[in-house]
Amino acid sequence: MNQIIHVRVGHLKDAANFFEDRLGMPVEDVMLKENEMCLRIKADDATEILLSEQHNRRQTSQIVILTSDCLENYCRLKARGVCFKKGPAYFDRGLCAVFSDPFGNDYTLLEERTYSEI
Amino acid sequence: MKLVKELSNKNKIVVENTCEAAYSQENAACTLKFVFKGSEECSLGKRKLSIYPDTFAIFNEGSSFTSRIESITPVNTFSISFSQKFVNDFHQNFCNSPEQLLDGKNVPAAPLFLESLYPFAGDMRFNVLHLKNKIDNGQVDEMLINEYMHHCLLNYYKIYQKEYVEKIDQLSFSKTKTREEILRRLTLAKEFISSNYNQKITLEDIANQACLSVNHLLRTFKEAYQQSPYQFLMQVRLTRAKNLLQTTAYPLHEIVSLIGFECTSSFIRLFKTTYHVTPLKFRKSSLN
Repeated sequence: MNQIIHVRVGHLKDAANFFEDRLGMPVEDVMLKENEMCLRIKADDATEILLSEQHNRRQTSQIVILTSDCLENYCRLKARGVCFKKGPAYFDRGLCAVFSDPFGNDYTLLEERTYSEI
Repeated sequence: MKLVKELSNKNKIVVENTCEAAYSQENAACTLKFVFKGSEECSLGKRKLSIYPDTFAIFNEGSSFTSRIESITPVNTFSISFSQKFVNDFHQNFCNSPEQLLDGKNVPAAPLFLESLYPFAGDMRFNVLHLKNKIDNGQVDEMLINEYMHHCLLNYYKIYQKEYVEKIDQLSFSKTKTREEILRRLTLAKEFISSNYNQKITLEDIANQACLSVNHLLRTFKEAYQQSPYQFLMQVRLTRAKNLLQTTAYPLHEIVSLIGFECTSSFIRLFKTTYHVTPLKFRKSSLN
């Protein structure tokens, strides 16, 4: 089942520009409630991000996007002008890099690696 | 089939799939050599380094070695050569803080690495597999390839720290020079075991290769690696057996013979004790 991450942004139009033009991720308009316009983004195979200008309890500013190749996505996004807060770095679960959107939310690109044998 | 990809900064990648090869090489750049299938035998002076899929070798710039491949089935090799400038830039970045780099403070040029076999596992394995995959698919983005190569060097520095620098500290001799010399000789012992794992080798053979007495070898080997030479030999045999179980259809008794075991039942017992699964169940789960 897909995981849905709720993220608050300042302006949907600016957010759409960032996700589409800078990250190269298609966005889709959706109505969350009667009066709440949102943008839906398919971040990875198991994650959807819902961007909204309105505040709600489920929102987070720390988003994890799974990738099969962190270095490839890091280079691709850097070439598109994305500034990384933290370049690719190793930790016990694998390799990750962190960038922010214009509204201060942090996105962690995570390539999970299994180091144990058998 | 041989593919050579040279980047504009003189970094180079060579992929080869061959049953037969023999060449001598004066290494123009620091090189990491990997084998994904089969084995490649390199000679460095009198030393023989056999590279298998669970190990990789490093050769420094200016080093001379010969390489030989002789196999019924194709051997798949992969080598990465770093230009001197790339290695020096990396070394500066690795050794200096951002502030020191801005101050223009220089550290000495990159050191000569201990030319030997190292375990091909962990992040090095993940990154090299990604890089190989990109090269196999005709990737031409130099920025991406250089990023992978930067991370391969980073991974190598960590492996070097773990396999060499930390091991020196584990030896109980008071003089640094003595510890370095002992570890250099223990490295020869490990190389000999890894390269002759399928032969009948004795402790005397290993000690002779390392220019140590048997007692000295046993004591210092255990100090540095927390296992005896025999335990290391068994570990190498089991790792190679795992690789053969995963990548070939050879019957078990043939694998047992190829890795230097004489008795199939004692191999099965050791495999099960170590990995908590029988060899055939392991092969079946690998296929799935």
